[in-house]
Parts: sequence; C-alpha cells; structure tokens
Amino acid sequence: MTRTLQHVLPALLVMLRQKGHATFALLCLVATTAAGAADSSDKTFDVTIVRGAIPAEQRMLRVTKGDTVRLRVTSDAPGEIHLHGYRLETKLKPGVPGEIVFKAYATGRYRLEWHPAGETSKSGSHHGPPPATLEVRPR
Amino acid sequence: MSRRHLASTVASLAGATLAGLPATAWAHAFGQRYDLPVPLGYFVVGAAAAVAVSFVVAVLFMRGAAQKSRQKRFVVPLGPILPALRIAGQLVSVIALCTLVIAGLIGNRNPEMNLAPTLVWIIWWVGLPLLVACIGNVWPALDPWRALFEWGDAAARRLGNANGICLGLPYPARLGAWPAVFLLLLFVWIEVIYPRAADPLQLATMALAWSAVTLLGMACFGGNAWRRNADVFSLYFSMLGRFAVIATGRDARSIVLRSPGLGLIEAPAESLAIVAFVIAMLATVLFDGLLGTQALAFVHRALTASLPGILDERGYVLGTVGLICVWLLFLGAYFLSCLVTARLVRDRPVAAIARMFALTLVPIAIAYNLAHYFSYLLAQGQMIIPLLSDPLGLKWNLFGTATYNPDIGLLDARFTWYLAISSIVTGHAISIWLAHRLALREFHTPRQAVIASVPLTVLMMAYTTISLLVMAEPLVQFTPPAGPS
Repeated sequence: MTRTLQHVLPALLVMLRQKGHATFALLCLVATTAAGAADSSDKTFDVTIVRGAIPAEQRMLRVTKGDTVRLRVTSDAPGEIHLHGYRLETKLKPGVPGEIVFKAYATGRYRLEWHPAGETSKSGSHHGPPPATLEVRPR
Repeated sequence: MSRRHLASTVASLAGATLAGLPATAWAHAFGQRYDLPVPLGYFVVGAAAAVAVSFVVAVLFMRGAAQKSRQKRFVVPLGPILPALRIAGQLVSVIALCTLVIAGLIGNRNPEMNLAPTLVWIIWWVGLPLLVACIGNVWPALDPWRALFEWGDAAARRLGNANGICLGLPYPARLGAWPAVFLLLLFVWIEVIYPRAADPLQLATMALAWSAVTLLGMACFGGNAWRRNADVFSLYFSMLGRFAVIATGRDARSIVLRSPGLGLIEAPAESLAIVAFVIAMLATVLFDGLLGTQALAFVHRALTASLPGILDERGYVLGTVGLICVWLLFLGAYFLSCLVTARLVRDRPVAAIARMFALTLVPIAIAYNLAHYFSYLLAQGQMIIPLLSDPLGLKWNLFGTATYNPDIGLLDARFTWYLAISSIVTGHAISIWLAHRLALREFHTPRQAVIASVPLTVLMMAYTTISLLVMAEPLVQFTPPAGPS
C-alpha cells in the first residue's frame, strides 16, 4: 500500500501541475505497473508433513499478490497435497520432496490440504488433519 | 474463513461435507470462501463514516431538509409484458424445482458435481435476495410452489370445482407470522449448522418435504394467508423487495419506479412477529459471519474445556444456542431502543413504535448480505456454468460449458473490502434516513421526531459497528505466519 502510494503520489503532483488527464492516467498506469513489478518476488516455503499432519508452525503461509510461490513439500508417508481454489496438486512419495510452483494471481485465503494415500473418498470417515492456509494479500 | 469448506476433489469433498472437520468445523451450507478479513484501517474508516453519516442526517432533518424532498414515483405501463414474463418465470422455476429434486435423488452425491447445492445455497439463497433487494421482488413470479398451486387451482376450477383446490379454512390468527419466524431460524440453522446441508440427497428430501408442507398450507388456508404468515421465503423476499427501486403496479400491467427504501416506510410492520422476522434477517447474516471467525472458535475451545459434557466437539450445541442468542440479543436491543423512544415521546405504546420502525432496519440487513456474500456469490456462483451443462454429475455436456473452470481472481480482496465497508455504511445511512423521515411523518413536531429517532440511531450505529467488527475479525492474531525460507 505505502509503496504504491509512493509511486502514485508523484504522479498526482505532476497531474496537478499539468492538469493533463491523459498524462495522469498514463502515469498512474506506469506507476502501478512499476510498483507491481518492483514488489513481486519469489517466496519459497518448506512444508514438512510428519505423520500425516502439517506442523502447527507451518499452517499460515503469507504472500502478496503477484508473488511467485514455491511450495516445497516433503512427507514421511505417501499421499497428495492439494491447494484449493487454485486447484493445484502434487503426489508425493515418502521422503521425496515435491514442488508446487505458481504465480499468486488471486487474493484470498486458500486451504492447503494433505490427503494420505489410500484415503477412501466416499467413506465419510475422513477426519482430515488441520490444513495449512495460504494467504494471498493484495498489493 | 474456512467455514465453507468444500474441497475441489472428491476425496475431501465427501469427507468434509459428510463428516465435517475435527473440532469446531461449522459447515456453512456449501462452497468455500476465500475472503481475507477486512484490515483494521478500513474498519476504523467505516465506523467513523457511520458515525459521521448519522450526525449529518440528524442535522439535515433538524434543518427541515426532509420536508422539502417529496416522494416521487413513476408509473411505467408495460402492457402484456409483465403477465408474459410471469408465465415464463413460473415455467422456469417449476423446471428448476423438478431438476433440483431429480438431481438430488439420482444425481452424483458429490455436492460440487451436482446442480442441487449450488442452485439452492448460492444462486437462490444468496444471489436472488441481492437481486430482489437491488432491482425488485421477482419471487412471486419465480415461486415454483405458488405456480404449482395456482395451476392446480385453475385446473380444479375448470373441472367444475368452484373453490378450486382451496379448503378455505381460516388461518389461526393467534399464530400470526410466527411460523415464518421459526422457519427462517430453522432454515438458517440448516444453512450454517446442519452438517449435511450440501448433500444433494438431503436437499432433494428437504425440497420435497417443503413442497408438501407449503402446498398443503396453501390448500388449507389459501395462498395469500399462507404466504403472508407461514411461507418464510415469500415473506423474506417481500421484505427485501420493499427496499427495491421497482415495484409492481396495482393492475399487474405496470411497474412503479421509486427511490430505494421508500417502500419500507409506506406502512408499519403488520405485527410483532414481522418485527421479529426482520430482526432475524439481520441476526442470521451476522451470525453466519461470526461463525467463520477465529474468535468464536477460541470461545468454543474455552467453553468446551470448562464445560465438558455439555458442549459437543463439533460445536453444534454452541452453534444452535448461539444462533438463538444472537437473534434474541438483537431483538432485545431493538425493543430496548423502542422502549426508550416510547418514554421520550409518551404518545403511544412501545409495541406501536416497534412495529413502526422495524422495516427501516431492512437496508442494514441488505448491506450485511452484500458485504458478507458478494465475493462468495461471484466466486462460487460461477460453478453454475459447468453445472448447467451437467446437472446430475454424469459427465454430460448439454450446453458445452461442462469444462468451465471458475476464475478465482475475478475479484481482488481490496475491491471486496471497499464494497463491504461502503455497502455497510450506505445501508446504515439509508436506514437512518428512513427512520428520520418516518419519525417526521408520525410525530407532531420536528423536534419530537428528532428526539424519537435518537435511540434508534444509537441502535443502528451499534448494529453497524458489530457487523464491521465481524468482517474485520482478526484484530487478534491466532495463528502466527510461517516465514518463507
């Protein structure tokens, strides 16, 4: 927010001096794209699944819209990790790290859920472990 | 907010919906919410704006601005368009009801691959109220039960039965609109507490059960008496529709254009049950918002620890008690403010004041709906596109849209925040404006009117602040974030 302001404010000042609305719009556009380009970064998270659960301290992952997110997941048992909303998933073998890499294009809170292999989908007896949350904040 | 935990895969879907998640997993009817809580700054600005608006409105009224502004209404004759639209609406709605029941009974049991949950919980229960409030009450034309009853009635008359299929029993006056109040609370309980609300089979069963009840009710007491007193959905949409800018004219061949909200101050609430109904409309949306908060999960954990044996692990008891309590608290606060008004003006009983002002709260209820559900409607509502092509989840592709993937990036969080705060503040402003206007009309002097609306203004400020608080929930950090490596 503050960074965007830093880019937009000079543009506003220029507009006040020149009173050229087209210039203003163009500057705003340039400023915001510049801000967006300057701020987006790569964020890598290590998620380690121990006995079928994501440890408590890894359950909140925060990034900013536009970031490239790299989730490096390792598990001690076979299964799948799902990122809801973005609809991404990867299958894991015990001890072999897997990766989900994506651009965080949509803001919001999305569940990152672990599904152990062999989980029967329709049994209704699924008491899933607490999921992690990926929080994508707006710029 | 993870309360609408619906997974995008069969595995977690069936699991999450049928069994719920461990400990305090209130399963909102259907679908997943991706909303970020409103940041503190927006909350402060919103609350300050609500206070400022209240003062500005009060000052304007003391200067007599409202007396100058006159109610303007434009009647637009539409000829045979309205009756034709009505027939089309009835056909569409009866087909939708049949599809819903068939999909629920024989379709895929996965809620995300069946038309029924999305149609009921997102399009009808979230989308339609917003449409009705913003544009006009289209429910009378889209009410499938009304259509079925009217068709049956017309057929019976044609076959020579002068009374149609109506038995003409008198509706028990003592019951009033209380059945609708009870049914609204029950329906919201199913929506936010009942863990199997998204199960297509359950939905079809409930739709069939309600069809039987409501058709029987109309047959016994007549369509109008039933819809005014017991038909929760007709009453719900009619309350929202009174806010809307379009109303149907007297002859059903014209529409009336009016300022938003003016329909709410045409007449007082018909009874105290209607007052309770309006308050329930507010309280239930707020309660739904409250359920997603970590604060409530925290309270639940604390209560479960200190009262073992009374509360269940999943939070059904707390949820049920909480829903009733929030409604009673809102109701109590409203009557308290009416009591204060009655004491201040001393010219009519408190019940008359309660009935007089109740409908001015409807804009706040609409604002709650818009603020809480708009992003959810836009994100989850897109599911209707693939589902229309494959309503039963049998890999059909009727309209070629079965493979459509919802775009989760449609709304930015910042837009959602602006919308939430501005709709709550606007709803608040309209409510206060209406209350002042009503007071000016009903009381003898402008001074008395301003005095009379002070307690209500305070109450509305409280309702508004509470709803802002619920949206800006995590003022306390419950889960510390993990740092990227």
